Amino acid sequence: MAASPEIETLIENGKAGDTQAFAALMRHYQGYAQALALRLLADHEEAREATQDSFVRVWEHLPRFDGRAAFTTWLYTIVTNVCIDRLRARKRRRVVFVPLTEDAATYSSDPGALQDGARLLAELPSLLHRLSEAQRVVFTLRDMQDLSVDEVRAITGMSATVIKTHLCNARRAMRAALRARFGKEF
Amino acid sequence: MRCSTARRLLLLHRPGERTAWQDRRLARHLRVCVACATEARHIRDELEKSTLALRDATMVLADEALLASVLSQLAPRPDLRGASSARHSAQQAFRPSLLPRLVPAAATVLIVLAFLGQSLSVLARYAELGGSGSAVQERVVVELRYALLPRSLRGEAQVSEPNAALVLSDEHAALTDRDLSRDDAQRVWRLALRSMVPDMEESRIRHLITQYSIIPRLAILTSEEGA
Repeated sequence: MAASPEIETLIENGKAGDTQAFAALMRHYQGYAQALALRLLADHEEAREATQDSFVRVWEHLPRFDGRAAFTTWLYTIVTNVCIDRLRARKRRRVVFVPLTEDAATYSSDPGALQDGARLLAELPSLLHRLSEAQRVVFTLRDMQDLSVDEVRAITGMSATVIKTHLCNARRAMRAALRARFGKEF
Repeated sequence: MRCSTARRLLLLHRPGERTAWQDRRLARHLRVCVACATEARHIRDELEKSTLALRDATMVLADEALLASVLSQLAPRPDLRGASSARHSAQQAFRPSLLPRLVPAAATVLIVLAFLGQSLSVLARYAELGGSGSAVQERVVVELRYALLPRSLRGEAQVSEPNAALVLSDEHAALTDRDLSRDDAQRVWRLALRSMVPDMEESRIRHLITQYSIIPRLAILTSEEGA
């Protein structure tokens, strides 16, 4: 997706060191970037930190952005990499208490529950926990960020076949998890 | 086409995910398989509904506080459009009259560095062991946190927080969240060293255990790690 002339101007000025232009660029993309981080990390505070780290990296590397890829693709690549680093660090270091067995009986079978955004957000960590890192990344970029398979390929460097395999497995796992949480007719 | 293949293809439900050839084969299968045809409707409905709900639940609005925080962290870069004025400003910044103001700042930095030196020396010793948590592959892990300190600092260390962390594969989950005795701590410490550096000589292990005190903190992590 080509950036508008206004965005291109902001990028060029940002490259030249204009922090005001960079602030305007951030203001434009922050929602997308932070949503991506939240969807990958399933933690508001960590998503916020990851977004900050990502924009600092964007600033540092902006002079090398050559426009061959769309700016959004480039930005999403940075956010995704920052989040992957955090997921890996979390796996190694962070103390999380996750039940070994899922007690489906504790969740009511409420057909309307899926529309309860707060509840769904609260469930997101345990839903995403069922996905491998690659599945989580592909599922998030394709289904939640609504990017094309080609864009996902550009960001992750995976082949289309591998992306589709991860997508397939991720959707199957998410569907099973949602059914377990919200009942068969969610 | 087998039903299992059809179910897999049904999961690739969004435009452009199936080839034309796969579409044709799937359509042919759905015409003759009632179960898969029913499943096709459910899959599409459920995935589309859940995807939309997840997107809505995770929408994020622009946050000025975050933007301000990022801007405060940006390393200055010379504005290439006004290079001459930037050079002029840089010369102004180092006028001798400004130097007195830098002295307190420099002193503060030195004090902070001296303070950090204690911690860094401990961390350096930890690094010397070749320690890293990256070898953990198991699905269930126990995370053990330790302060690793030279015995000479043991007294001061009573109140300090752990500043080195070891991650072990969990062969010994029986050591649960209770206070460890000194013997237990040494045993776990030995296991930690063995876990990090499997071929470490026994004499080296004994040396490290003798030279350094460890202050154990223990937290149980039961994590179903992704592949």
